[in-house]
Amino acid sequence: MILEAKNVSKTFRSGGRGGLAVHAVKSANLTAARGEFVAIVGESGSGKSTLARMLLDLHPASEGTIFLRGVDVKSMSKNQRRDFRRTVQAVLQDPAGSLNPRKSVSQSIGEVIRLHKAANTKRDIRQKTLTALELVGLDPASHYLDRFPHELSGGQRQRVLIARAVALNPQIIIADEAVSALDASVKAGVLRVMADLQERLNVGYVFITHDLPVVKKVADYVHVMYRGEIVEHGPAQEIFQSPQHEYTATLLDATPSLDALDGAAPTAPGASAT
Amino acid sequence: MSAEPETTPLAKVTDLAVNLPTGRKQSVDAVRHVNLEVFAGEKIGIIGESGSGKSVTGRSIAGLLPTSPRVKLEGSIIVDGEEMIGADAAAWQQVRTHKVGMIFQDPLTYLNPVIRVGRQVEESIAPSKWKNRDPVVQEKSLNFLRLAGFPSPTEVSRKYPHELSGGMRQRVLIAIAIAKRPRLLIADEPTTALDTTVQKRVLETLATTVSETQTSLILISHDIGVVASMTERIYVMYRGRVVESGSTSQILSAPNHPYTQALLRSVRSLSEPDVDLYSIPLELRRKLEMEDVA
Repeated sequence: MILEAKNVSKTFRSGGRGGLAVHAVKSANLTAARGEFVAIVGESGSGKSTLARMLLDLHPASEGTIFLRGVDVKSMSKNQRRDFRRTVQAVLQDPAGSLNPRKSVSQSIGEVIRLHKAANTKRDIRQKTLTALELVGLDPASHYLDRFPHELSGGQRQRVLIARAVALNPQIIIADEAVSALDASVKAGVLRVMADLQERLNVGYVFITHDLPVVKKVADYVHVMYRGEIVEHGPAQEIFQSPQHEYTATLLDATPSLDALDGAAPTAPGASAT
Repeated sequence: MSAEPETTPLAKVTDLAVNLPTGRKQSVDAVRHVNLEVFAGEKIGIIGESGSGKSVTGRSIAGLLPTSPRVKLEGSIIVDGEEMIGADAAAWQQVRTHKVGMIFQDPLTYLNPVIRVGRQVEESIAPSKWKNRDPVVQEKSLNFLRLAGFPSPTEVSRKYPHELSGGMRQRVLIAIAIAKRPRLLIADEPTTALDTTVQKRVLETLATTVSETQTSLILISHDIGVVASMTERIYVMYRGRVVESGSTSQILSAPNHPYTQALLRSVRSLSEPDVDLYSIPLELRRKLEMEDVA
């Protein structure tokens, strides 16, 4: 295992000391490894994004520890921290909000490559940017280099974010609702890119979503969160075949599915009314 | 399955074309030659990817497009026997007051943050009596909230929008829309921003409310699963045109148009095991674009 959360909790307080406490995450355990697709599912407010932010060390954990290869992220040296920032990458939900509107695609991606010294000369940086864009299926890559975020569609922006993440050869990518806002066809395209990277570069994923069919399709291991707690976890197949926790069953039950409808009349209540 | 087809539809759209400005000298044909009709008590769906023109079509029927002179509408929209293209603002106001209601994706934008939701329903029922707190109107407002799936409406009616969850807000919006007793309700992506469990609840509420009040429904969404579970007929839109329409079961089981086929294949590839993930290939999009221009 590479990235590990041990008994991490996060409490937010409103109005300073002694204010109302919200326990966003309660002693959660989670491990992510290379080549493994780990999913966190749950409704909004269940704490899944807070857990992701702690894994990325964007929020410090209130209790518990995050380890990268056994090293506590809180006590990392400068070099170790730089390595952590390279090894663990984030792809967040809103691609427009994660890209600087005034920077072109080549600037956005080139910047992180330069900062992490993944390449040094201008030519190398450009080459690496092109490779990353090709990896995520933006082809021909040179067409996209000088575009600004507003000139890209939602799916293309999301792929630029993934390209920026993979440009640094990360070992883990934490994707928070990375495909939730996309149309079915684009969603399938982005997921295929992610699965492809898993195969080719042995990237591991922590994939956060409320989209269960997608989880069923791509995940190896699933954590179900409810009210800040991981109420159930296990291999994807087991969770989907025999959910143990009541909430997991509700969640599975609520997903609209086409299979149940094929060739049948609409089943919504009251459909027969005049 | 569906209601007996009546002779005249409640709303009929013929050859609708909408041109919207996108820049100082640019504009886009958002909707092109769309034909659509909905009968009294019928539930229909419009599906399509983002930018396909489904929302613009819905807004046209409710007369809610921007009022700029650069927004150009052509064709015919007949609501309850009246031609609405070229109609003045007062006529549209009449249509929205008595005939067509609309709900949107983001309920918070459409609720007043400083007024309790109960009063907002009252305002929808009787705008003129709203200030005086007519007890008859208050009672009606509670009934509509109950209809929208709140078992104890008195409690909810005292809350402000920020005190409600996303799903509850959306159901308040359904109550406000239905309180006008419209003949047609247009729901544009009503559950897209909600979780799966909440989505189910809101859809059930929407289905029972429109059935109980005998309202027609146009459900607009990019999620085929949502539309399929709620409607009797479906229109599929792509690049501003209706590429295919038919009964829900026929569209799902035997789609004719290559775009619909590709779309369904891609949706199924996301949920079915042992199928490779499928996204609509660029060649198909180019081919459809070529046919479109020709």
